[in-house]
Amino acid sequence: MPIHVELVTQERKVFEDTEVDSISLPGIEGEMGIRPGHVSVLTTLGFGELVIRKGNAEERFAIYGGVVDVRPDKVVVLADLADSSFAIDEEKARAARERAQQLMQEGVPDEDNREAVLQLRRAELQLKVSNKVRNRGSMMRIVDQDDRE
Amino acid sequence: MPSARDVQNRIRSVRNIAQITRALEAVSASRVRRAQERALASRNYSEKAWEILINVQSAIKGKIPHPLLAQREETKSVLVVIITSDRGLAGAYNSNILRVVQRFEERVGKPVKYLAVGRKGRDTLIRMGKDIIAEFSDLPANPSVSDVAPIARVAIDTFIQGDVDEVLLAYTDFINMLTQSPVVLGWLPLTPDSTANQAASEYVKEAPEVSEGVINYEYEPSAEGVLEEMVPRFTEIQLYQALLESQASEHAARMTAMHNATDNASGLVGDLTLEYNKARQAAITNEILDIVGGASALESSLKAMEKAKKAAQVKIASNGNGASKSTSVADGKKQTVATPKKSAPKAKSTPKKISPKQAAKADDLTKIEGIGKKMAQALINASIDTFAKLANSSEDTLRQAVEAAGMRLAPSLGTWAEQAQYAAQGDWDGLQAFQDTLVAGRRPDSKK
Repeated sequence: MPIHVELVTQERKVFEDTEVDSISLPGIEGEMGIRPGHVSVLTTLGFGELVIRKGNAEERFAIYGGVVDVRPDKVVVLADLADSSFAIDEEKARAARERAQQLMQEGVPDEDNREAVLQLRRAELQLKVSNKVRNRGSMMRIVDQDDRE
Repeated sequence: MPSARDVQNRIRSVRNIAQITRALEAVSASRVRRAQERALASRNYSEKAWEILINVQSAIKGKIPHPLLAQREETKSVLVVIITSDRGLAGAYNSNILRVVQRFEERVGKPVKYLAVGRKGRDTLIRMGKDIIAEFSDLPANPSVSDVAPIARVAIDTFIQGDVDEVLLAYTDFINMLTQSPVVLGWLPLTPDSTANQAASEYVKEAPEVSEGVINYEYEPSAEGVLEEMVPRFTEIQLYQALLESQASEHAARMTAMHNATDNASGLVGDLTLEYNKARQAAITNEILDIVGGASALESSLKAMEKAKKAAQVKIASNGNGASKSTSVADGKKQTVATPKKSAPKAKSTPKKISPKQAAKADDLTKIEGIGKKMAQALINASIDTFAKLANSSEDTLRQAVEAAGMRLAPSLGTWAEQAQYAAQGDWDGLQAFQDTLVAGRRPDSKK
């Protein structure tokens, strides 16, 4: 029994596939692996990598918070933000990390500070995920082209 | 019938209106595209969020994990959050949603309070004397979730405090460019079974299907923890989505309305142009009629004049002036319309005075000693215009002619006939010799 997966952000539907074999996602309390027939769970998401596997192919996304609704045959991920791990621009991520670090060192007002922390976490996750993708070498993907940007 | 100038002014003003509506249409067309993109982009997310909320709510057993999910035992009053536009000229967009809300209020039979989003809805509700607890307007064209947060805050607080037992969202669902339908959505508490469903089912947005069999959710880390983070946010998202849908609908409605207005204006311009051409043609026809009328009046007076002239010439002819008659008639035939005045006095004066031309044809009577220019004219008037006639005239005839002209009798009168005798024969030497014997035209032997 395959799983129906939907990954949705406020901006768009990022990914949908009805025949997925397994998913691993960053729950707030740690990594969760989901296979068909999983018990119904409602949990919030942390920062981390969402991996969707189907046969030999897989899709990877960096996601930054959100909610996931897990049911035995369906998983709906409502992510606050999601980047395809294959489409991360390391240059940009590095620049963003530096900017965020600089902002935090300068000691900006509270509101901006929180924003800076988020930016920093996002940039760091992007770098981590893209590093991982690079080290593992080429892999098959579920979606043929990278049409996500 | 209005004058051509009036019609022209109206055409101009209608054209100006069409220009404005066309511009508004273009503006709305570009805005609707962006608003539509935004609405469709987040529709997926909000629908999923809504589905999760409804599923969570229907799975509740026993203790209610979050106050926003708590259904009240009795609904005593209702709050309606109504989303309208700040600006008009959007066709029936605002009136549609207001009508739906009004009908809903009639049917629900409970006190209804309002939270107005958008100036048009607020104004109408105030006019109808409704109970408005809060009002929001001037929302940005590209709103973010944080822009709707204060609205959600007011609604949620009102609900939590127990001032109202249910909160409904009334907004316009964007279906496509041509269709936007007003809907009422049971918002708080988060339940598929709201008052709206019972009171105005035809306008209620369908709640997502609850999964078959109640799902026994496990929550990580805890039900309170998850729902505390999720429920307020997802609630806000519903309001946000409603706002996006309404904005897309507003622009689409305005675009359609302005398109129709532009079409109507060009139709009106066509009709008015026809009317203008009619008025213009009528004016031209009137002018032509004036000219034709004037010309025919002139012609008839001309004919009368010619008639009079002919009559006069016939009179001359009967006076025995053949030469004069023939030239005058020829002249009359050549007369043009433009010169009736010139010919008229000439025709009239003909019987009294013989033109110099005619006189020249007669003999020069002044060759006779004792006849001056005036005397010659007097003789001509008495039809004595040649030497031959003068020679044959008796002294009495001459005297009468002179007296008829009102002149003094000339002493030389007795010798005129004799002198004329010479002239009539062309014997100018004889005449000269005879005149040499005369003294001031008289015979020297005459004592008189």
